[in-house]
Amino acid sequence: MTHWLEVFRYEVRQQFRRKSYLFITFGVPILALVIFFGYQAYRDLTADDEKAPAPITEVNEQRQSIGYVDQTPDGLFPSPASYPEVACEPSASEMEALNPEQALSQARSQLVKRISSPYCLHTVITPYPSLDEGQAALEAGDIDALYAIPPDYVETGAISAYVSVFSIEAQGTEGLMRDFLLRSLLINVDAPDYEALYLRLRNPAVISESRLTEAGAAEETREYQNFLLVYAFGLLLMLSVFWGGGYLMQSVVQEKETRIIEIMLSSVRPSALLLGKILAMGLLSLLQLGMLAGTFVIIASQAGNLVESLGDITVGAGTLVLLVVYFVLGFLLFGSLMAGIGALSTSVRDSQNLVTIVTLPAAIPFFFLTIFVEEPNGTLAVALSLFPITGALSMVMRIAIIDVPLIQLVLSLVLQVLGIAFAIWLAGRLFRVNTLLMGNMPKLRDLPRLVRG
Amino acid sequence: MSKEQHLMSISTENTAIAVHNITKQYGDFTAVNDLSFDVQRGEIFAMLGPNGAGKTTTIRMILDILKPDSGRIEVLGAPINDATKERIGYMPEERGLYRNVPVLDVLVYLGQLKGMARTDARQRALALLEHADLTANVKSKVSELSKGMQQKVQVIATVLHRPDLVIIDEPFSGLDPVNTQLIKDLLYEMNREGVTIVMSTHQMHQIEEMADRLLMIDHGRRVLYGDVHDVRQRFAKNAVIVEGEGDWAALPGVERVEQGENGRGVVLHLAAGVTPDAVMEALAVGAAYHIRRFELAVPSLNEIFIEVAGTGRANGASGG
Repeated sequence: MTHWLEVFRYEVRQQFRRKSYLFITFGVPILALVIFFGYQAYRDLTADDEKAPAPITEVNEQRQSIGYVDQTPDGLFPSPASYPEVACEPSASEMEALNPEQALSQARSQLVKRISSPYCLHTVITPYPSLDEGQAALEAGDIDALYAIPPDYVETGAISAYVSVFSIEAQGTEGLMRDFLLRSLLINVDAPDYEALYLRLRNPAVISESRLTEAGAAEETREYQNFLLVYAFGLLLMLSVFWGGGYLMQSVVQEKETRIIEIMLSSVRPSALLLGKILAMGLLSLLQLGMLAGTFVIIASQAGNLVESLGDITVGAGTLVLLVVYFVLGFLLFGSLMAGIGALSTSVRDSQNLVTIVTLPAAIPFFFLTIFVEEPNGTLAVALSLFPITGALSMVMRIAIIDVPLIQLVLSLVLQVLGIAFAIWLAGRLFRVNTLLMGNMPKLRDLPRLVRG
Repeated sequence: MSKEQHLMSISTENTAIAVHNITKQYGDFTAVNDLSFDVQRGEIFAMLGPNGAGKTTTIRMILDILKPDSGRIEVLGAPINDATKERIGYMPEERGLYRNVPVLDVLVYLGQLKGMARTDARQRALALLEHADLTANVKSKVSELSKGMQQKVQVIATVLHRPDLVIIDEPFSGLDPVNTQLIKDLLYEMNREGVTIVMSTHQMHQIEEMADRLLMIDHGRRVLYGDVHDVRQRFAKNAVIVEGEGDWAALPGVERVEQGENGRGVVLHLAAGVTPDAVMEALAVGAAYHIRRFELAVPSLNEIFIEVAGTGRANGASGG
C-alpha cells in the first residue's frame, strides 16, 4: 500500500481549496450562528424598550383615537375622563413589582387596577352623546373609528363599528375598544380579583395540545421538535454522505477524463489510490458533518428563544455518537459504490447519470418523513432502517427522536457492515486497471465480466 | 560464484529491461505474443510498430500496470516492485495532467508519488521549470497553458524524480521544432548521465538520429530487433546511389537503373555476385563518367517500416 498517504494528503489539500467545500463546512455554520445570535441580540435590545407597560397598559403607538356612543339603558360605559384621575404611568419601583414573575401582593393588585383604569384611556377614547355627532366627528377626521354600544349589549355582546372608507388608521382599533369595555366592566371588582380577572379575560385561553398515547396516558406532544429533528438529522447525514461520495467519484472521474490515471497507476496501485481517496473524502465529510451538526445542536438548544412554540431542543451525546457511527457506515457504503461508478465512467456527465442508481434508493426514507415522525417504531420505519441501502439514513432519522431498541441497532449495524463489505468488494473489483484505463463507458452487459475480472 | 552465474549477474547488471517470452490476451485477441527483448542500461532504445501492434500493452506490462498472462519481465535487475517503480519515469501516449491545479502542485504531487520528499520535489520542479522557460507559469493552472507548454510540463513530470529508466510514448508529438530540440537536448543530457531511455515513436528520423537500438513489433510479435545501423544494413539491397553524368545502364554488372529519391541521382541495382567495389572500379576507369556522389543504397527506417509492416498499415499514427 505504498503512497496511499500521499494520495490522502493531496486530496485533502485539493478539497480544502474548493470554495464550495469551505463555504458549506465553515461559511454556512458561521453565517447561521451570526444570524441566529444577531437576531437574538436584536430582540433582547428591543425587548428592553417594551418591557415596562407590556402586559398591563396598551401602547397606542399609532396614536389612534376612537369615539363611542353608549346606548345601554343604564349608561354602563361612562366617559373615561369621568373616572377619578390616577397616575397611569408606573414609577420605576412599581415597574419592578409588575414583573409577572414577582409574587402577587396587595400593593401590586392595587397598582394593576390603577394603571388599567378606564381613565388612562381618556386621551384616546371620546364619548359622543349620539350616533350623528359621533359620525360627524368621524367624517371630520377627529377620530379614526366610531363604536356604537347598542341597548341590548349585555344580552348580545354585539357592538357596531363605523370607519371611513380606505381608513388605514382604523385598523386595530377593535383591540382598544375591547380593552375599554373590559376595564369599564371590571371597574367595580375588588383589586385582588381584578388583577386575575383582567389579565385572564384579556388572554382567556393558553391552549396546549395533548393527545392520548397507545398506553392511554396523556403525553405532551413534541411533534414540532420531532419533525425538525428527523428532518435535520436525515438531511445532515444524507448531504454529508452524498457530498463526500460525490467528491470521491468526481476525483476518480477527473483522473480518468484528464488521462492522468495512467501516470498515477505507474506509481501507485489501484487499491492504494482508492484507500487514500476514501479516507481523505471520508475525513473531510466527517469534518463537514461535525461543523453542521454542531451548529444545529447549538441553535436547537436555544430554538425556544426564536420560535416559542418549538421550545429548546436538547440533542443527547449518545444520539450524536450514533449519528457519527452511521455517517461512517453510510460513507463507506456509498463512497465505495460511488468510487466504483467513477471507475466505470469516462466523463463527469456519465458518472452523474449513473450515480442516481445509488442515490435515488438511498433517499427513499425522505419520502416517508411523516411516517418516521409519527410512527418511528412502525413496520416501515423499522424495515427501512435495517435494509443496508436505506439503513443509515432511516436509523439516524429514528434515533433523533426515540431510543431505538438495542436489538434493532445491533441488527442494523451488522447488516450495514455486510452491505459495506459487499460494496468495498464491488468497488475493488471495478477499481482495477482494466476498467480505469478503458476509453469507453462499459455497457451494462459488460459489468459481470468486469467484476469477474 | 561459477563462471556462468558471474556472466549472468554481469548481464543482469547491464540490463535495464529484460523481457522473456511475454504473452497477453484480451479474450480471443492476442495483443502480445511470446515477445522477448532486452534494453541495455544507458542506451536509447526505440520501440516501433503499426497501430494495434502491442507496443502500449508491452510498455504497460513492463511498468506492472498490466500483468502478462505468461512470461516474465525484469526491470533494473529484478522483477518490478514498488521500489523499482520509483526509479522509472513514464510518459504515456495519452498525455494527462490535472487541468485545474497549478503546475507546481501537480509536479510536486507526482514527485511525491515517486518517493520524493515534498521540499525536494518542489525545488527540483522549480529548477526544471526554469530550464524549460516556464518560470512565469509556475502558479498557472495546467488548463491555462498552451499545448506545447503542457507537453513540456509533462516531460518534466516524467524526469522530475531523477529516474534511472525513462519510458516515453511519442515524446515529440505536438511540439514545434524549438521545443522538440529542447526535449531532445534534455533526453540526451539525461542519457549522458547514464539514464536509460525507451521511446516509442513513429518519427523514424528521430529514431535514426537518437536511438542506439530498436525493436519493431507487429501483431504482438517481434519483427525487427537490434542495432539501428545493423538493421538498416540488413535491409540494404545490392544497389548503389550515384550522382553525376554518364550512361549508367551501360556499366557492367548493372541490372536496372532507377531514379533516386527526390529526383536526386540514380539507384543502380546490381546483378547477383556484383559488388559495389566492382562498380566503383568500372566508374573510375571509364572516362565517360563524372561522379559527384557514390554511396551504398541503405534504406531509411521509414522504408524498412513500410516494407515490414505493409504499406496500408503504415499510414496510421499511433496506438498499440
